[in-house]
Amino acid sequence: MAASAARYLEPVAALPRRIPRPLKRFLLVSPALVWIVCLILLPNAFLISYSLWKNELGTILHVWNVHNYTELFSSQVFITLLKRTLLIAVVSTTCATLIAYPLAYVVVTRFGRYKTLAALLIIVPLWVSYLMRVFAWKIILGENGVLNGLLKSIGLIEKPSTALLYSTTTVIVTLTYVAIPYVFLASYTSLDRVPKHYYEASSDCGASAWRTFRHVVWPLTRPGVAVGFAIGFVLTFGDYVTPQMVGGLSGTMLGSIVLQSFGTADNWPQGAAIGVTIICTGLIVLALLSLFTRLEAEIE
Amino acid sequence: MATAKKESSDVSTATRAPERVEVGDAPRSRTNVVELRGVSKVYPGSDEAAVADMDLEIHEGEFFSILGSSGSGKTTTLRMIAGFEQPTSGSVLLDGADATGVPPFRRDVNTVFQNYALFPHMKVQANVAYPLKMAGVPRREIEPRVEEALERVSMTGFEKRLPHQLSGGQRQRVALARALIGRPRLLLLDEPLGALDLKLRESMLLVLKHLQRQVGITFIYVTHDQGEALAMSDRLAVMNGGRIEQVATPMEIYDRPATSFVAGFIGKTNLLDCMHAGGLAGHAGSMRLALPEEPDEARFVLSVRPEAIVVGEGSRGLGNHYTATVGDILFLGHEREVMADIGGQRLMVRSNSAAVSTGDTIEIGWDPADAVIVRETGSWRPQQQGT
Repeated sequence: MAASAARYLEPVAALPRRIPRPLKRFLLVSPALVWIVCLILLPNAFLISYSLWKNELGTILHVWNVHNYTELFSSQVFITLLKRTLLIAVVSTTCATLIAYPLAYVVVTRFGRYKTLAALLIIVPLWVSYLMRVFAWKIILGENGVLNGLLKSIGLIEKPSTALLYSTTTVIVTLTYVAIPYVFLASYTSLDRVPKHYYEASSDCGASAWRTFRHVVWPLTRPGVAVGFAIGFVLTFGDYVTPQMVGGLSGTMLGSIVLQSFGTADNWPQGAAIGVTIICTGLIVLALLSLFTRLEAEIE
Repeated sequence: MATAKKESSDVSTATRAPERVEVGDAPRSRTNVVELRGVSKVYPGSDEAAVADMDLEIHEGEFFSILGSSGSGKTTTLRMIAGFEQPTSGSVLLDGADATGVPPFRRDVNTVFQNYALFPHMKVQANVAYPLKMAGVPRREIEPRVEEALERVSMTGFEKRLPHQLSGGQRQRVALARALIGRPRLLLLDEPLGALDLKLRESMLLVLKHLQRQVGITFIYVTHDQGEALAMSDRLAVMNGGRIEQVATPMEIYDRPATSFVAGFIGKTNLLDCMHAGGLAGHAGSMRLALPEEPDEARFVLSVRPEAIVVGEGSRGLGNHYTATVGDILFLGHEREVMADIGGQRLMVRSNSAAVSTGDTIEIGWDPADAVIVRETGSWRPQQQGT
């Protein structure tokens, strides 16, 4: 017995190791490394370097300075835009969360075995091109749009209103719509993870549906909502398509300025500086959010 | 609404008299804490009733078990009492008042769930305090009561732990403390020991039984384990296929099973398909039998427990006496289980004698009074389990 076992074991032990261990380890990690270096580290390094170089009538001088930043933060226009962009992103993501989370709650708790179908229907808009979705709002809110037509036909207004389109509110409405599926997805996943017997146990302990929600369901799903909010925020904060299509002048956001700087203005260093500012602001907001994602619990 | 709101009277009386000690053997008042009247439950999308036309009365202060294999409807019954499910027809009465349709949080009933269902984000302290908090008990009152409840289940010192930092048995005890802290009229336990290992089960059985005596709350205990049910209960109901087969004390269930299912499910037994031959005589195949009583029908089932069958010379004077051939022998340690063949009828008997071996001829017999005529309801076979 022992002899035969040894006979079977020996050839395996004697197999030549073709690839040395450290190299093997490196090869295994390399796809991830390539990904991180090419798609995250390098672009950001370029962006930061550009933001620290000097622009001389469209040509870039490789002189290190913080001129781009001082100029930005002394510009009243930039400060206004930054504030507005923050406001628009926070308000629209908050609205999206206020709509998507209750929606997800209802779907998870009330739809039974149809909940997957219901969730799918809510996410379906994501299959349509982003431009199409934003354009749809133009059709709804425009001067000859669906909403104006409706208001006119029921006699609420005399002539079509131009106030609906091209304003901060329009951008908020559209971005809210854009963010809803993402926040919904994150909320739905976290709500779906709360087992039914927690609801039952809470009810059994004398808690009404509302108190069960407040004391059990919300604390357990808050991290998921925070993740959804973060995704929505990042998405809306850097957006430039929506403001350009439905925002008009009062709906302009930082993203549009970045596009202009890199495009028509041909001032890459300035565009890069705005880009870095956007990234840093986003990171600060995400850091604040991460305070809400901590949960010291394990759902069985 | 008579179905007692949790907060009010119960809590305040409880704080005045911290220990509602009731002696287990004292005659109990005959109030029905729970009464089911013609209750049926058909789940949507299913043709078969999970519970069919069930009548049941559970008395104040008793330890009542519902015993059945999985899919027998025992958990559904419990969930209807708790209010998690509504009966398709019939009514559920709690303390004599109709509670059908009353949501769980308005019922003076608490449940210990099979998987404990402790809230994972709350420390033990918060978990146990939860029912009191929901009932609006002042904070300074909550703390000593949580302490007392944890002490009762020997979990003092674990207040600051989270549920996932506890072992299965500890979680079980915290769940018990949480269910008992509001001093409900009724405690429902859904296979509470199902997830514990054997040693822990045994000690938890004692904890439960002791606790029930101490607090005097009515317990309804759902289990598939006949040993647990027999050991713990004042009375128990045996369920099969959504129907109650028998409700009786453990001793009655064991000694006088009403149906062939009960006889087969509780302990081991020999079930003989018999024909009536007039008076107290009958026959099963070629075996002639003396009966304990006159059967109602011409065909009936006779249950004879293996331990009622005497082996050897001692069986000669008994009402039923046969010579049998020994078939298979199972050695169980403290005794042997012997299959005895009497003209084609196989009977399981017990023997302590090492002298018995396969192929031998032995004498067996039993007193007719030790056998029971049972109603045929199909016998329990393990492979038929499941849903």
